[in-house]
Amino acid sequence: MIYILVEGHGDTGAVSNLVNRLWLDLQLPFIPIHSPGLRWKNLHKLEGLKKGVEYIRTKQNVSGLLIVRDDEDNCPVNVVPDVSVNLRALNTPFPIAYHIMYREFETLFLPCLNVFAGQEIKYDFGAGKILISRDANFIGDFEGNRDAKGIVSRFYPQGKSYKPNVDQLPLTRLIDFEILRRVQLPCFGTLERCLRHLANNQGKSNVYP
Amino acid sequence: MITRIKVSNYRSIGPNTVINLGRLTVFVGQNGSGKSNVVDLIRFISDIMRIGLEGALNKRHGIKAVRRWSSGKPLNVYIHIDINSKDISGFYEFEIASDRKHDYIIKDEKASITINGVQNSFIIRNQKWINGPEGLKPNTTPTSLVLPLISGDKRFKPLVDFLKNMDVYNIYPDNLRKPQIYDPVKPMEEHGYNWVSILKDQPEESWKPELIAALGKLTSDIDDIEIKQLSGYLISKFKHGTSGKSRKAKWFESAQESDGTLRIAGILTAMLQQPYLSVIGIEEPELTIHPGAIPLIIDFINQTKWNSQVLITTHSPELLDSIRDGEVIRVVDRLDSITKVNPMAFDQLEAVKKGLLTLGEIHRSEGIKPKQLSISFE
Repeated sequence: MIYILVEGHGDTGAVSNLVNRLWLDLQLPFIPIHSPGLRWKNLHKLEGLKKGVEYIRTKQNVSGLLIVRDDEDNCPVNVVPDVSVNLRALNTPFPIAYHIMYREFETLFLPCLNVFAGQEIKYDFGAGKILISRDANFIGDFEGNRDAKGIVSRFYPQGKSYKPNVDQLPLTRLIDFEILRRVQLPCFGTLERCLRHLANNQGKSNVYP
Repeated sequence: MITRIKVSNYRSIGPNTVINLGRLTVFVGQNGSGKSNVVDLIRFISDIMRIGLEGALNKRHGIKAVRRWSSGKPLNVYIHIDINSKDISGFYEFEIASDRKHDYIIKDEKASITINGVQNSFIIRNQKWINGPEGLKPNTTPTSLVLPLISGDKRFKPLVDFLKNMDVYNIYPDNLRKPQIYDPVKPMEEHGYNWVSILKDQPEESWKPELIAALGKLTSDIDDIEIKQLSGYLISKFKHGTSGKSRKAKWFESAQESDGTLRIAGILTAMLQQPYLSVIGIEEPELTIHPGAIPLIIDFINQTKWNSQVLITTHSPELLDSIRDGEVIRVVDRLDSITKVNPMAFDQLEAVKKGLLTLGEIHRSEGIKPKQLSISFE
């Protein structure tokens, strides 16, 4: 079983949906992925990170751990090397991949906004739907923008806005991986490498990156 | 939106208290510190515009319950509200003094409103119309405020509408359980007495998808809501249990729903109701609600703050952690029986900004402390 630690509430369902779909899309060998992801506090701090890893170590049949967090302010290149050193020091019997969504999970939505355009957000409960504007689109530096949630909200009906706890999962289902590959979104490319790392390092104590 | 309130001696609130407000303001403080009195100030102004000063005072058990207690001469109640938004700016203020004959009298009342660069204002002092726009000189009485009386005057109507269209919610789940008589009055009543009527009168697309998505997320199986008419009453029904393949949907009346489910339903309805309120307050939204559902409420608060100004009172570290921004916090504390309202202490604010502690962690450890200020006004 691959476990996922995330920070936000909306992320728990959305990240596991994304990882499950991407795992299949990459045609990686089948390993069950624990869904939804587990919400964990203070993943940006060493202490929080260690506690999270130790908690997963208490589980049975752990095949790997994916840690996913948003970081609006820090480029992953500057943050990840130190984190990797600390994760390696924990010497877990399973592989770990550490991924920063730069700048936030919703950054993945920006290249796909024209796919979302005119689509209805189908919630898990109820038959009601919210229609994304037919004009939905974003042109620019996807990771350069700090307010991906705000950009997505612009294409909601008047008076409504993007709400991670109910909208993140339905919108994640609409993400088109080919678009993210075509625009070479760095944080998506890193996520693909994270999943390959977990698949290819079964039974090893390797940490990515 | 209301940018600032200056208030003296309203309930437990002390003299010369200045409360700066943003699109979202969160009041924290110990039990009995006066948080509810602060947000009741908003409800009081709104009540004055709807039912007049006398009605608003009666609703609160009279002037003695509204005026801060004093061992000597009764204190004057003074309220000043500054408004500044895209369409309207101005202020409204009044002072209520004690009076042996009438119990209380209006000492002063002033209003000013600017729309599209055109300003209109009036001043009344000791029941004398001192200054006002041409053609307007209403009768003044010792115990009535004039602004609600001139709500038909198109120059002041936008100000009255703004002040009337404010409400503070403290949902009682039992009110949502009972069959409700249809009530066309808007907005929703503060305790949810007309909850079903609000839902019935509003286009479903404006509330149903989000309300059900949220309740479904909260309970894992609510899938629909239905409003039914039974003789002269309205009842609400909740559809459960369609998430599993073998499970058949069951409809339960609201009387069978949990406190937490109904409370969230009431709170979200307050936020989704249309027309949007100019100011919406919610008292302790976390009550009876699973901590895991609090970020869901914050999502709706974040949506609502673009439609209405939002005021929240809370004791919840989870709610504070979901808000994250220390700038929106106002600390309500009570010293010598006097309520004071201040921003958060600077050192705590810095700790939050630097990511050393979250708002919830500070709240749990030493408690959120007020910034020491010496602001006063003339």
